[in-house]
Amino acid sequence: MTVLQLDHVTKTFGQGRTAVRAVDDISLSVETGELIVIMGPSGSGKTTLLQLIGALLSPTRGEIRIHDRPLAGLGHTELARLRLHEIGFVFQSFNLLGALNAVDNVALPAALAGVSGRARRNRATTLLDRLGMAHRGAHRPEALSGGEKQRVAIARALINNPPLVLADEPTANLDSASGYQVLHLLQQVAVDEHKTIVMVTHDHRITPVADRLLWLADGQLRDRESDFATAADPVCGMEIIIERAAGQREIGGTTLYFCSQVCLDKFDANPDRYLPATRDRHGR
Amino acid sequence: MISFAAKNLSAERMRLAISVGGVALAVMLIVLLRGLFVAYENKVSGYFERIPAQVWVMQQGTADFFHSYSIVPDSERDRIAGIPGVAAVYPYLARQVGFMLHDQQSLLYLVGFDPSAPVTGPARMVSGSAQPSEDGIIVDEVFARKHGVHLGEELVVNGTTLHVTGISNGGDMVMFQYGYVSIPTARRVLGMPDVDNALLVQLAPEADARDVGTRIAAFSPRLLVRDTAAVVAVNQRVITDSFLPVITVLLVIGFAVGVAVIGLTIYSAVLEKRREYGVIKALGARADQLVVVIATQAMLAAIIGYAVGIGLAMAARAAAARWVPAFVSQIVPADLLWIAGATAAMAVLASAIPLLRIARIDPAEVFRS
Repeated sequence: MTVLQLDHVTKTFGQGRTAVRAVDDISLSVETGELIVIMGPSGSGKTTLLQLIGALLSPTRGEIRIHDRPLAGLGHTELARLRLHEIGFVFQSFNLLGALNAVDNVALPAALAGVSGRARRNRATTLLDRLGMAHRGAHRPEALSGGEKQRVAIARALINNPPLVLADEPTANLDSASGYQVLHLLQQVAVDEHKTIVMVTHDHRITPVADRLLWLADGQLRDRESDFATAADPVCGMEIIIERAAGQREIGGTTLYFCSQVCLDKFDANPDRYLPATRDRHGR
Repeated sequence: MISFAAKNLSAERMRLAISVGGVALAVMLIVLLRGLFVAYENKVSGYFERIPAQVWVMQQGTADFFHSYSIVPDSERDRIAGIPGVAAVYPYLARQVGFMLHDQQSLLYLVGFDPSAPVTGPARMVSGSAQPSEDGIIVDEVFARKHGVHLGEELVVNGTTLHVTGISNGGDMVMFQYGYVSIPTARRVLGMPDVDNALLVQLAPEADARDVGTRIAAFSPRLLVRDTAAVVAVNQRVITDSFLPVITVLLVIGFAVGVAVIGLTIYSAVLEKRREYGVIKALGARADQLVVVIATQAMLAAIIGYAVGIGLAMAARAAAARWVPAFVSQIVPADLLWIAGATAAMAVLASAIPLLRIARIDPAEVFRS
């Protein structure tokens, strides 16, 4: 069953000579239970695409449908209702509310949906338990680690049982171990609960969990393998398009590509620090 | 959403304290100013309302006893007493006197009264005797406290030495206080051997005040006849005309201060938590739910501020009664009700600007790290 359908969606910011086409004629169909990963460099239009799918922006052209229901023509209240019931959001910077503890943060969308106090707290506690966070339910975000915050955010995204979960760089602010844990949790959610997950990222660690991997560059969705040659920056780990790399170094017959001058300078200052990882990662 | 609003508000104690403190001070200001006005009004009219006479006879052209001077020959007393429907007629001798006390200029509103029929005498005695001797004077307790006057102390008024033989209450006119002497002493001190300021008429049980008044007025064109209610109203107007506009302006300022304090603290909280409100919008909050969040925070600050403000006003009133006797404030339940309504209105108005700000927050912003 198709949960999400994008037909020739374009989003342009500005007008005339200053117009920027952030999303350019994208068509996409996502089925129930699929975990789609959309990768792309910074400025490629990933976040704009997620905002469009999340009914937070309206496309300049084209149509977006969730469960075959077109978003165009829906008023503010209907769009808010759609976000509340049909979509769960997981943000890069967690976006938990500082005044609320973990349980109340998770329960917030249920409160917005009019679920009674006890029922929403029970539901939030159950979700936190499933994500291994039951013991941290009474803690406020400031007392939680990055990985814990993201697990709370995932629980919040699921509390109204939405069919579609949108995750924006969910591992970007996490260390390696926490990042993997969050990834596997999202994968588990997709499999166990038949949720459709659309994740945008530039973190190459995410690729193994994806049912489908898409590449976004200059606002256009491409098949990464055939259209672009990419490489991981050995310093920051970001997946970059080779032809747009800020610089490159030849080390022992291997070419390393860098996303920016900053990473290049870091590498030049201490190449040994980054070489082992590079070799392990690529086996070269 | 109410619980979220309450948690949001209480999470930042300092901001809550500022908000509540501002409202409390505004409420205290409003309560005390309103109380001051009520007290002034009641004090000015209270003395006249207490006098057990139904009809007042004054000199034609008299406005009120504080701004105009009425002279009625005492001989008119016997003639009026003979009018049908009149049971008794008493002289009213009263005038403000200034004299030096403890090297300072002091004011008393000196009233003559008959201790055996104390129609114009003190309301209640606090200490000493209610029967002043020929050189005795009863002073109001506010005057006594303000000037450190004690029983037995000598006051030299218009060259006459009077001994304080009693201290009473209920004779504070705010700007000055009452002092009571016997009628012969009042005539001597005030230099009014055969004239009075007014005549107080007690009616026979079956008599109609209007009929008797008409008969007295017909008796002499130089006399002005008013019933007690008219006398009270005319003297109250002294306060309402002079103080009400000032008090009203101050009440409006107090209200505006309350609105500004709640509005600014909630607005600054919204600015600071702009991202969180964006998150709530992104998650699917409706506009009315955000209104509830903001209005609840403003209303909670207003309710707590109101309670604290009333407490502060009571404490300030008690402290003033002890340390600043001239400051009077009378708090009546009806005023507390409308002040509660005004405080709620503060919260509603204060919510408007933060809500406008929230309406402009783009939920899509929350995707930016």
